[in-house]
Amino acid sequence: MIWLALILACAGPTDQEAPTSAAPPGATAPDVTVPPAGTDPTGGSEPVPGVDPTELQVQRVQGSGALKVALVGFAVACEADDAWMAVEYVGSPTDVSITPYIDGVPSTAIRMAPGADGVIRTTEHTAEVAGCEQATWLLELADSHRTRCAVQGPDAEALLSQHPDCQLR
Amino acid sequence: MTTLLVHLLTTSALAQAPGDFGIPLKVLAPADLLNAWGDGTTVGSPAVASHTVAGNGNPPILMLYETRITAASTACPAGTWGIGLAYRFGGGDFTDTGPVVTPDQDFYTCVAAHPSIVALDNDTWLIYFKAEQDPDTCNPKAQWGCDRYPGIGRFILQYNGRNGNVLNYSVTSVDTTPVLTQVAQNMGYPSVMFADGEFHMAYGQFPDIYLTSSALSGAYNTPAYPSLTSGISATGWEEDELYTPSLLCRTNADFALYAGGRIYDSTGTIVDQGIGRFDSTDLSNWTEDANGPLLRSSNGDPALRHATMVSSGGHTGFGLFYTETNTSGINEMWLTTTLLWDRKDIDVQRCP
Repeated sequence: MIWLALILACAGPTDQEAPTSAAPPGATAPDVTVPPAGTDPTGGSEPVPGVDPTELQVQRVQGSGALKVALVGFAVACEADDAWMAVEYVGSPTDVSITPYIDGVPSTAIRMAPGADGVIRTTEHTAEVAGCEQATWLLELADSHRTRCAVQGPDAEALLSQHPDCQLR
Repeated sequence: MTTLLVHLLTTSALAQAPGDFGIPLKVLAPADLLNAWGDGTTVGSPAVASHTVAGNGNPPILMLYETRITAASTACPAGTWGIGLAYRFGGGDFTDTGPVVTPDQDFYTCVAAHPSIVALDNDTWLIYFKAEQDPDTCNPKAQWGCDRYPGIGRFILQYNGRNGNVLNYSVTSVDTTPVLTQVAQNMGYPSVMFADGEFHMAYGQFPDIYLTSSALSGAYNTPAYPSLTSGISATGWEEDELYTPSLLCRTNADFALYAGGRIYDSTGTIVDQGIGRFDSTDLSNWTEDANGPLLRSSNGDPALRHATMVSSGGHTGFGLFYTETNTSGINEMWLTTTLLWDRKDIDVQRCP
């Protein structure tokens, strides 16, 4: 038993698998106080200190209209000064816009029409953008809950420093 | 207690490399499925993700899996199949939440199987799956036509927040339009990651592995040539087939593809199966790991069907989920891990 205790104590720093359904050594959750039931207002973006979840429930929904907005795909292609833009998203954003930046200077934001209803909604737009090939693009989607954004293009990392919550694409 | 002792001794003695996998643990069986959905014969094709922000240091591991619902018929020669979602906190068995996709009156009238999951955000995931329809009851006006294998389906999983100790998720209906519709043959096991602004999908199409990329989740081109061809390795572990790929990114220019390999005898019976690793910096040129296959059934390893490799801790630990057939002919899900596997720190396959 002493050997076993030593082995358990030296089992390693990572949270490895154990061959039973019991929690492995060192993984026992501390006693916690569960707060009153209520939907997490952060929507999952932040952990809630002091609470260990123990159960997971799944509900099926038709389409993605009831989801919080999330970006799926983002593509831009240039032909001279003509820009073709496509955005895939889920949720029901009140605004989908793309702003081209040339040499760090924003141009007028291009408002995208809502995509057709569906699970993964796609919207496309063609616009004249001077310096299209050199442009860096800031995509923003927003609903009443949150904003999601992404940057892509030659100066994407510089633009990301101004919009640190965006995805780098 | 003896089992625990053997496990600890064995894994402690192993080196810390992808090829050094410990004693497998069974994590899901058909008998575990909620309300006994499925016909009780199989669970397989795992797709695994960790929801890091939701667990307060003990994140739930989410696993999509396939199960057969009804046996083979004229309309659906492989039977009908659906996809379920199971989870676990910590180690041990997964808990099933039931079906999330079942065959429907669309391009997947027979089969929704072979799920693959890719994170879109810190609370939203895109899931792809292989679809199969009955050509005799299909919609001939649909753009994907009446091929039995009309392409790959998509749906979304999103975290909704929590009530006390319960985490709530929503799963959408299936998008009405399949992708990769030009493949239209018996391909399968898509594995998707997001890197350098694009989705990258590897899939098996007998006997090779193909890879296609797109900035949009629904606009893949069908590749004309395989990215990995079977029968190339000097060790011959993938002599007759490469299949069930797992595509992983370490950075946006450092990729790994784990794949199953098979050898058949002259009657078509599988005589050996293995799991090997290939590395690439550009997703075009792949180099097999110099150590050869990581696991191989001829070395006494499990049969390793439907294998999915998952990494943790910045690609320092590895977990291999796979299906094995028990003595009663039932397919069950197993997990084998390396010493540095950390189930609380599973890597997200986005780079960035």
